[in-house]
Amino acid sequence: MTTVPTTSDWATNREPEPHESYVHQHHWRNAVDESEAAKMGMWLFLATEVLLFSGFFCAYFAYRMLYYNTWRQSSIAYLDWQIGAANTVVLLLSSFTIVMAIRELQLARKWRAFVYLGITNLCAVFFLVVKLGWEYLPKIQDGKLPGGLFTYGAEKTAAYGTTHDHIFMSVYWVSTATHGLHVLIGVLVISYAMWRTAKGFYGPKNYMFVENTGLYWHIVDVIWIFLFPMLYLV
Amino acid sequence: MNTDARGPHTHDETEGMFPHLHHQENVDEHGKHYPEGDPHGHHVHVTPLWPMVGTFVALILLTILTVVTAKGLYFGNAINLVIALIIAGTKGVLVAAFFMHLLYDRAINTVIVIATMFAVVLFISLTVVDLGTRDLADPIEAGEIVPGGGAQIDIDAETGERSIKPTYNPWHMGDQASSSVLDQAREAYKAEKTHGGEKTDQAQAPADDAEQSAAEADNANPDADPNATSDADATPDADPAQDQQGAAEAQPNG
Repeated sequence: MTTVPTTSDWATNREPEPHESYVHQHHWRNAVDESEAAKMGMWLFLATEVLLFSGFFCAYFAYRMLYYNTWRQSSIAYLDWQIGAANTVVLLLSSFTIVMAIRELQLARKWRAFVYLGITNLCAVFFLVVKLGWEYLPKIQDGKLPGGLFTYGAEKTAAYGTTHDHIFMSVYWVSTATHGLHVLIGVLVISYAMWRTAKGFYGPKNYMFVENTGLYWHIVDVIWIFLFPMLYLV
Repeated sequence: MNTDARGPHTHDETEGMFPHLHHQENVDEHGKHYPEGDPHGHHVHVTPLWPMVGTFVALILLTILTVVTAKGLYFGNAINLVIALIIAGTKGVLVAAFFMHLLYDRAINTVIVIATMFAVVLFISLTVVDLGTRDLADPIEAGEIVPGGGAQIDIDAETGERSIKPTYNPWHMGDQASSSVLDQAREAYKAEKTHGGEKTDQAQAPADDAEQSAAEADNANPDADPNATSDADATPDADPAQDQQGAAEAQPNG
């Protein structure tokens, strides 16, 4: 553990940054209590997010057990695991860079933190572009839509009898679309954090907003870590 | 000389619009002065670099492991899923402990995470146990289970009538997980034939016609998607020669 530097190491006689004169709210004893409470509040919110996605996982298990015969075939036929693997690596990288951004703020190096947050944002945008352009768009064009909207291969379905690909696509669309929405929200929040970092509001005494943003982003990553093998690989 | 620890140019704005009588920086409710930080002695922790880099490398390696074990090995649907979930769980624990700082935080955050995991595991395990033991309950009406999932097509020995019955063994350990419904029907038909029972000519003809048209549709269906990754497990039955032979075998029995 190192002691926290109180001034930035690149200038001595300069205007103080806003984070250096940060004062905690008056109903807290000190800034550490305030930030620890904010972090715990964030964890409680993340618990609700995990429970939201656990509903989708439960649907996955239920339908996989009911339609065990064709579930894996649907996954292989409709999803490209290489795209999923690329998205996984990109999200893991973005998790790493947001941790580095928090570390740079703790060391009062705001421009390095800004760059790390920017890389995180770029990774998130890459994820969304690949998902929307390479996964969702071709599926929409082919009619591989969830549930009752499924129109792919209608003539073959009529000849053979029902297939269960529309159920697999239901689970896939709902899980990944909700996750994609969370990624989009993360992009907006990280962008706001970048703006505030550039303005100098965050530093060793006040980095809890970025740390909570990081916690949210890590939960988004962990959800994808589970979604990727469940939907794309097995 | 300004000895304020926050730096040489800071102004004390702790009074502000709402003056407090006893407010003082770094003094707890007992009036004891404590150093910058909280009164319990925890220093503000700068995230260490190399554990984070090591965690990232470990996550990438575990991702590669997930792909290799899922795509390269096949122990059956359920076991592959369990292996993948165990590796994913390990990755999640690494992210939570290091990236999300749980290892360095106060214990209450870890307690919240464990409580959430308990709720999720309870939720999903009860559902899986329920669906896995449906065979212990009364049989579900045939109309409530859509045929083609785990359904078994029975062809009545006397009349050649097809009836669809759900199977009650969702785990199917040791079974060929991707055998089609048609092959199961074919096997059941052959078993009925070899174990006795007389067949009439009229019963055979409509059954054979239906089987042949279903065989062509079955050949077409698994290869329908040109973008499907070629995987031996996906379509083990798409062998036209075998289907023709099966259909030809059924003919002389009339």
